[in-house]
Amino acid sequence: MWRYLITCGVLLACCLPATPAMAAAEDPRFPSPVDLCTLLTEDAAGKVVPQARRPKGEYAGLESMGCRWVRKGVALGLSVRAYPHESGMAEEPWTHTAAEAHLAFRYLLNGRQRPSRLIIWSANDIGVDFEHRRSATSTTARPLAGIGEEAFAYSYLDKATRRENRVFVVFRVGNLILEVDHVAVENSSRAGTLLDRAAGAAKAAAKTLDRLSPPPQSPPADPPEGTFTSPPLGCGLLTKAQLGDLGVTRDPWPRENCGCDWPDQLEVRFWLFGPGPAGDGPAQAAEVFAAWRTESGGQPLAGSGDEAFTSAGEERVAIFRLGNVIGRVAAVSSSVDEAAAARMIAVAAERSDG
Amino acid sequence: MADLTRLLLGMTLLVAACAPGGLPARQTPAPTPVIGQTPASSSVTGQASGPARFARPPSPCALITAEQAAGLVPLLVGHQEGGEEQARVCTWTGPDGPYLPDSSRYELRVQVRHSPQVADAENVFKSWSDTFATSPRDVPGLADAATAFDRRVDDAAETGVGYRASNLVVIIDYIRRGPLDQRMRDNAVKAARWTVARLDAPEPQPDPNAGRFAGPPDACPLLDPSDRPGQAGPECTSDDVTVRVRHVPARGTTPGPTAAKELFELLAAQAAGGVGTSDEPRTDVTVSPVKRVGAVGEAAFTQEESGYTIFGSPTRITLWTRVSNLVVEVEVAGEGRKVTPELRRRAVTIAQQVVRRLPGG
Repeated sequence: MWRYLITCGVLLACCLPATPAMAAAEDPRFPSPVDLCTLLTEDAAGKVVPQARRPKGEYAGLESMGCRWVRKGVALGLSVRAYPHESGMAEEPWTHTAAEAHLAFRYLLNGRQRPSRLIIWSANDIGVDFEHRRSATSTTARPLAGIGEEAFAYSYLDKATRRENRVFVVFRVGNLILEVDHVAVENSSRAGTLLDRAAGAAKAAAKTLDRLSPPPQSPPADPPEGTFTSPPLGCGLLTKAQLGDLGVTRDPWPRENCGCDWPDQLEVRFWLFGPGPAGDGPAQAAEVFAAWRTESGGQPLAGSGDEAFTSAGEERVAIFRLGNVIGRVAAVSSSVDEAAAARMIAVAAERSDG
Repeated sequence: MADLTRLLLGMTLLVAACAPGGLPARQTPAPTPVIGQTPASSSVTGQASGPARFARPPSPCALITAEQAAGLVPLLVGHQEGGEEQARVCTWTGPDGPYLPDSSRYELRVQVRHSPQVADAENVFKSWSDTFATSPRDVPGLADAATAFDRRVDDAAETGVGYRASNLVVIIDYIRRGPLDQRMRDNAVKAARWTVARLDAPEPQPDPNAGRFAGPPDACPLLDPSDRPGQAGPECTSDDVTVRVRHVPARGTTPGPTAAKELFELLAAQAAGGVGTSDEPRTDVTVSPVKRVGAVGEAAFTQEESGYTIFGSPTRITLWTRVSNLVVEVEVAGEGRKVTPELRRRAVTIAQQVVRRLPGG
């Protein structure tokens, strides 16, 4: 029964505790800020930005810190990201656990499941001032293996040149979420792609961090077969065509626990169960599902995960269980069919990387 | 869930009200470990009387691990400690949001009541078990004396265990809004056994790499020990002076004091990067270069800001100092548009005073 473990090797998420409920107490691996300029050797940074100006560490308050190597038209930035939250607030990473960082990482990944609309950017330190600002759209996230404990990349596709001229690699090492931001405005004859160079820098930084504070000796045990280690990424489960079939046209917004909102049209929420009073994760999820069905008096719904029902109330809601995950699909718009949406989402979740 | 919390609060007050004549006076804290200070030949279980084992109450949150709590509270979000000094309570809860069915929402609560003497704890325990625990059942083999109980308040079911271990009384409450069943009762007893095992466990040795400070000291007593005794936290402002304390734990194999040195130098580099005069319209603010100063902590530097803005004068001097694994920031605001020699002397004097008042200083 490997259906939920399809892409463990891609995101390495299967080796990680997925929620605080599944995580043992632990101290943060990085309890105080690190000078990011020391994470890359001159050689490593020089592979990305040859003859870069010597960087100065920036430490702009406790929420953001970074280092940047620049010369005209080219830059390599390395920064620690605060944990995002759906309220718009962000939290410093220093007092948090790797499990909490994993959730924050998944939140970021969930928010990069669709290409963006127009982005306008400038960077004075490499000569792209406001007068020469660039217009771009960003790509969807691509998972990357072998960088920290989990990583993904996305790029800016320049409107004028139709070329990728800025790449971001987001990666997690313990309780830190870091970001490499590599810009090369003009075409160059250098070997390798922008992504290769950015990923190389990210990998080197992750290795230095591992030396500064080694990962735990005994990694968490593999989860039982048939269990999710993270909720599926709600904003990326349905294709554009499927969303079109459902009548969903809005841009997705990530929510906590990998949920997703298409404002005024469709909402998806997930709950991931670890072992609880009822037994293992699937048993616990099954017990909660049964209580939910009893309390709501809903009608069974076929073809949506292991079991599902549609709510009997005024709300147009379908609830499904898939292993140790419960999903709630709410049709906010009267034109959206919640049962059809739940079926599509459950099928996609079963194939997903959670 | 808010209702459930109110219910819990009500129960806490009820328990407190049942203690005869309130709790005995506070015992002077001893430098011995709080948890697991049992001599090698002794154990919590089976101890009928004798000297009080616990000079101070252990934190109830330390008696149950996150993993253990997650096995009893589905979708555990976290825990919170509260209550009074002699009766601390830790509550582990699941998500508070909408949607999930009420009967799947659990709470686990551990209350620790501390008495100076074993006899006082016996009274507290007897009073609690006589008046609070309805349908009590003895739990043999658990600590010095233990009673299990069930309660139902409105639509919430509660089961729990109270026990006495030497001069401590520990009460475990396990609650959900739904039917009470044998599984809940068994899990409450299981949780009680975990807490007894934790009280019996040897105290972890302090990390020799950690540095002088186990955590950030409260900032207000560093400014004026006689002022604001109730105000806790690593930042304090009094009139024109602000103190911020940042605690730096060990990082991997890097000792806390070394990590604090790195942070201190990072702050110095950041401050050096901000030197210059603002080019904002209608302002004239100058940030001085960083200046290293001696005679404060293990290392110190200052930076000055002077000039004017449309909101007034931002004149101030900030002094950062490092002491073992702490980085302390002292900010002193001045009057007028320039930092005076007197303001500089005052900042150094206040910082020296803050360093002297650090615990163990």
